[in-house]
Amino acid sequence: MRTRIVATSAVLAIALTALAPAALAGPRARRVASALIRSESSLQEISAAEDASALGAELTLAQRWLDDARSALRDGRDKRAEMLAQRLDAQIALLRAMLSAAGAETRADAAERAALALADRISELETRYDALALEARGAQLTSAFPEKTEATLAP
Amino acid sequence: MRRELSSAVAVAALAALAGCGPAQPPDSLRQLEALAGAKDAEAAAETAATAWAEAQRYLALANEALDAGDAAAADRFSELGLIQGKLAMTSLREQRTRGRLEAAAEVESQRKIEIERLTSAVAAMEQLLARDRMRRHVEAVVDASRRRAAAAEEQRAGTRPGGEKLGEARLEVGREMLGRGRIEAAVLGALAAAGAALEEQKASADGAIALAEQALEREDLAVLQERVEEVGAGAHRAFAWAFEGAGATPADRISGLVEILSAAGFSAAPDDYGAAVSLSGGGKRGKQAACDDRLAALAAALKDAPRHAVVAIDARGAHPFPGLDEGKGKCQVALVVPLPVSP
Repeated sequence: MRTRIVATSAVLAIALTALAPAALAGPRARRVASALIRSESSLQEISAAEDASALGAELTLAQRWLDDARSALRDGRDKRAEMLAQRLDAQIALLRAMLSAAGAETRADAAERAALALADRISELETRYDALALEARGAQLTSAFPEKTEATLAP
Repeated sequence: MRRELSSAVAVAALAALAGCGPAQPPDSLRQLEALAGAKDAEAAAETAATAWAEAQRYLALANEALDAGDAAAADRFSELGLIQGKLAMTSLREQRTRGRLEAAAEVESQRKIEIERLTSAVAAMEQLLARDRMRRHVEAVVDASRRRAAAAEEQRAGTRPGGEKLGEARLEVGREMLGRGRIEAAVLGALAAAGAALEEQKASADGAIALAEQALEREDLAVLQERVEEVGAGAHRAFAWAFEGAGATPADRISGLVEILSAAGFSAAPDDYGAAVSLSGGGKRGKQAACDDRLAALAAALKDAPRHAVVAIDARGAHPFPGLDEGKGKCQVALVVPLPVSP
């Protein structure tokens, strides 16, 4: 357990050294630095998502806020960095919601296309049935032939 | 110089006064206000109540900050409010999309049921028409066979008492099977009708038909093919008999069968037949096995091609099908006869 805590602290220290060497000692800087690491990871994950192209300017904005927050942390402007980190956190929630909505739209579009294709197939079958019915009438078939609306028909 | 200095001081004072006045609302606040007043605002508030309430709270805070002259704080609150407002609008959009998805899925499901129903109706209709087509052709074959048998009887008038009666009896069998939808058996019956005009063919024709019927009952196509061969041989003997008096050659006998089939609307020229296969060729070792294989292949082909009839005939070494054991004595030939699409 102790080893794990030491290892985690070491990783955090390295991250903080990269982000905010000047504010390493401050608890706020430490907190913000951790939040920014999480945000960066989230943004990478979001950028790699299938529907990321639907995010457009909102994703760019989030990336800019991340850069601004890092700069602020490096310059020792902890409060500004904290404000940006908070905003970034909310923006990431928005991006996730947008991804979810985009995924739903993709699925809805696919379902609508499938329904349209099925309508074409129905039309083809109706045409075929009508042609057969015409042939049957022409042949003066005495046996009753199946109706279009019958669900199941005996062979 | 003094005047210039005074002017500069006045400008600076004015500028300072301007800075102390009410702060200008930032762009973010304007955007947030526009979002709060959008036409979907009410729906968004219903769909994502928490996010929308947050947006409203930030809007209030931004306005307070602006009133206090803190434009930076107003911008900060507005940005946060905008994010929450967009989040609510996105949730609304997703909810509507999900509604669209559900509607499309419902339509898809209904259409699939409709397609199933139509496919079934079309298949049943096609089957009905195919059976009707087969029925008409078989009736034609029966008629042609009957005419051929009658002609044969006329040629042999008086020499075979009772032959005509037997031929009619076989025709009855054909008709009966036709009435029961036994298309293949009806073809056999028709062919046997020609063959069984000969009194001496009665036993083999009867036996072959009985076995063919049994095979049909069991839907055993392989056995059926054997019976087809048997009946076909009987038919050939009938033609041989029918043409004997007229000095017909074996090729003529084949032509006689082809003529009957043609009259019924089958392919007119032997070359047009789907296949003509040598079944046996003089008792060489292994020939029977090859013959069985071919019969099995024919049976399989018949399964996949219900609009084809298979008849087997004894060509006795002379037939119009090139490449089939020509000139090597007895040769049995199976014809896969394609039935025409229209009568």
